[in-house]
Amino acid sequence: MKSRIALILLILIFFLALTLLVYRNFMDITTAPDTVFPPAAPLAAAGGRDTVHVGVISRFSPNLIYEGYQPIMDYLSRETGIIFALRLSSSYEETIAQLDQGQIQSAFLGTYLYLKARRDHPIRCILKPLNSQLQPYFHSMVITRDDSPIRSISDLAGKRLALPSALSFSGNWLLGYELQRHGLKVSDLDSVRYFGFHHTVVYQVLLGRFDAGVVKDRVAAEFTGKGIRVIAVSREIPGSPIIVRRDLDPLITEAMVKALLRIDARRPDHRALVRDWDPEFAWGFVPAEESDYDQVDAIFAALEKEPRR
Amino acid sequence: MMRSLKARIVLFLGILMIVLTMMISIILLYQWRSLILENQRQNALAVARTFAASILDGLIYQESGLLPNEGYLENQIHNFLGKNNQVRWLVMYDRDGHVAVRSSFESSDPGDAGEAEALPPAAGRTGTRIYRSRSFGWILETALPLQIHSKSWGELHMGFDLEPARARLQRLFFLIFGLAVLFVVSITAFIWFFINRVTQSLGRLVTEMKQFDLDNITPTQMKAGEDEIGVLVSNFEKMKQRLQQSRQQLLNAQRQIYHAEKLASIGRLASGVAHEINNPLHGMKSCLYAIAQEPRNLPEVKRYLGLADEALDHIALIVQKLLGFSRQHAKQTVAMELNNEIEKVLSLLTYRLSKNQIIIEKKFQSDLPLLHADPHLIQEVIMNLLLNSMDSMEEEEEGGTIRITTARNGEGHIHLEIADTGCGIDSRDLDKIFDPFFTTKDEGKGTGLGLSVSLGIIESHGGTITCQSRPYRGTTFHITLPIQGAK
Repeated sequence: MKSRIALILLILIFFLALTLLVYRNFMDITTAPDTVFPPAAPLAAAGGRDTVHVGVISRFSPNLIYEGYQPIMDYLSRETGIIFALRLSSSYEETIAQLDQGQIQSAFLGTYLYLKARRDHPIRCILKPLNSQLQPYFHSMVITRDDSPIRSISDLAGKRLALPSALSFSGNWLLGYELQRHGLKVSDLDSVRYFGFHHTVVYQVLLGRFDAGVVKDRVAAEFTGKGIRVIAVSREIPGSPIIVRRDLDPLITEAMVKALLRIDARRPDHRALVRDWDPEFAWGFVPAEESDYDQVDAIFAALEKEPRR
Repeated sequence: MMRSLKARIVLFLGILMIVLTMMISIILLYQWRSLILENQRQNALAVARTFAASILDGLIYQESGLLPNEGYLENQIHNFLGKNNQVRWLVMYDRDGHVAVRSSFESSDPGDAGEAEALPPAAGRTGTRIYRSRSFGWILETALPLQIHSKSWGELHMGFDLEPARARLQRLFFLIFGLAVLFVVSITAFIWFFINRVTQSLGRLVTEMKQFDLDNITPTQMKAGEDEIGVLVSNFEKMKQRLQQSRQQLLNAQRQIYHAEKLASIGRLASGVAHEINNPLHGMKSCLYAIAQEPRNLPEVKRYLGLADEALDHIALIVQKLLGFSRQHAKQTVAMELNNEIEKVLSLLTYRLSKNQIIIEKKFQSDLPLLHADPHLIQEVIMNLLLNSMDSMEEEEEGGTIRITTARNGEGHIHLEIADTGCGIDSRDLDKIFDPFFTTKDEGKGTGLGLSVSLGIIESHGGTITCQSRPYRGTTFHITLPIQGAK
């Protein structure tokens, strides 16, 4: 009997000791450092050469611009052996000023801004982007909420209109061109307000603060089926060009053009490569000529001579 | 034995339950710990990423000249720490690995003040780790690169308070441990109860087996369930019935053997009985002859007829005794006087004893208690032994002596001893005399079953029979019988 009790006690002590050991181990939660982020790809060695600074018009918030354009810089640096670096600005005009002052040698400009800037500034377009259908143009679109009674541009009389930057094509197309075609004037609208980003225009319309808005087709496509309806579409507009200063070393320009023309969105390896790029430039490029933009330039030039009101 | 079995089963199952429960509990505990810590890690990383995004915006704006370079980050960090009390410390490194901003300079502990000593920015893209700080206790440290693709602004390290999570882990441990103990105790108690029931059933069956008596077979009182023990009980019951049948068949066979042996004994008695009957017949014949000579002498005729009647009574008595001995009986235990039964057997042997000049010495204890036995079977034993003794002295010219002794042996037994002065038994045969069909007599003179039958009868009465013999000196059989008969 005693030996049996002793045996049971021994077993209990053993399990208690084991429990204590487990407790100590369980409560010791120290861990070794774990790796979460893959090491960034090293930048191409400068090798004493100059850096090409590239500007981007402030169509997005600064961190989004870095998210979408830094991979393009990395790609260009890797492919050309020249260091490309982003330089941001606080406004569309500042980008033009940076070009003038030589702070940047190249830039991603909007179509409308390019049309305005090329008249007075020493720049030239070198590439224009393809859209998701691999065509070198885009559309501006007039959007309303799904439940809106507005069916066409003619219905916009007395309505509130949200627009992106006044220096963007979408910010000018409707007011400067399409309204007139539908027999309306700006003064027929209840109000017009410009916002910094295309996405902001969509949110304003969705929230019901504005009855209609104008955005690029790419942004409208993001919200189609999510409360947004398109009521009008612009003609085909040449895509936002990549421009360079006219005095930029032609070899650098050529290297840039060659590298970016190699992008083929139909190739799976290239799809992976451009995954993080701004979607507007993630479908590849075609060479751009000044004349590609002449037709659009002519329309706006004619309209500028006539008062909008 | 049963207790030992029960204890062993409970001990074995108990240990097995403890081991299994511990294993399951440990697996559960570590899985939960992993989930809790992973949840903490993800939460910390989410908070750190959110803050890093705003810091990154600030850095980009600063770089773009949209924000002042002085004081902005310090204000952001101060504001953030004021709203997030789970963040114990924060350090930001520039792209060269130098401390750009830190949350506090109060701690004198280099391991605390410069947390990055343990997780230096040179480690680059390290994500999280958990360590124990002397000042802050358990800390979950996150390290996020302030970087967009290849563009880097430095690295952000944040220390999150892990003490609440650790307290949760502690509560979880004691909860699981308590539940495990409760589970083990409950299951062990259940096993104990269950085994107890099983062993009780087995114990009852064993008791029934121990009390099993072929002479008094009664149906088992246990209910035969549908489980294995029920099958055991049922089979035990069937076995009892088969044993009873077998025993009945054995008894029948035995009785037939006894009877056959008895008939053989009668055969051996036949010549003596014939002589015994012949003498009164001769007397009757003489009486009838005398009556025929003087039929008118009525007094003489009457006397002779009386003598003939006596002779007939004598013959009737002999025949009655013989019939009484030879009749087949079912075993019937009654209270009987052993001395009387011996006398009855001796009366059948009178002629042969006198013919062979064998003297019977009787040393009977007069106040012998009544013996509970079957008198016919006891007579058969005595007859067998006396016939064997007489056979052993048949060759002797001067006859011999048979000494029959009865006495009480202790409190519960009666001792019967039959000793002769015959030729005795060879020591080599002594071990075989009780074997069936063993005989030293000439062919036709013995069946070889006499002593074997006698042994069976005595043992069936719960007694013993032994033999001592020396060649040419005589043989003694000792029989001990329980007064109350076989138990």
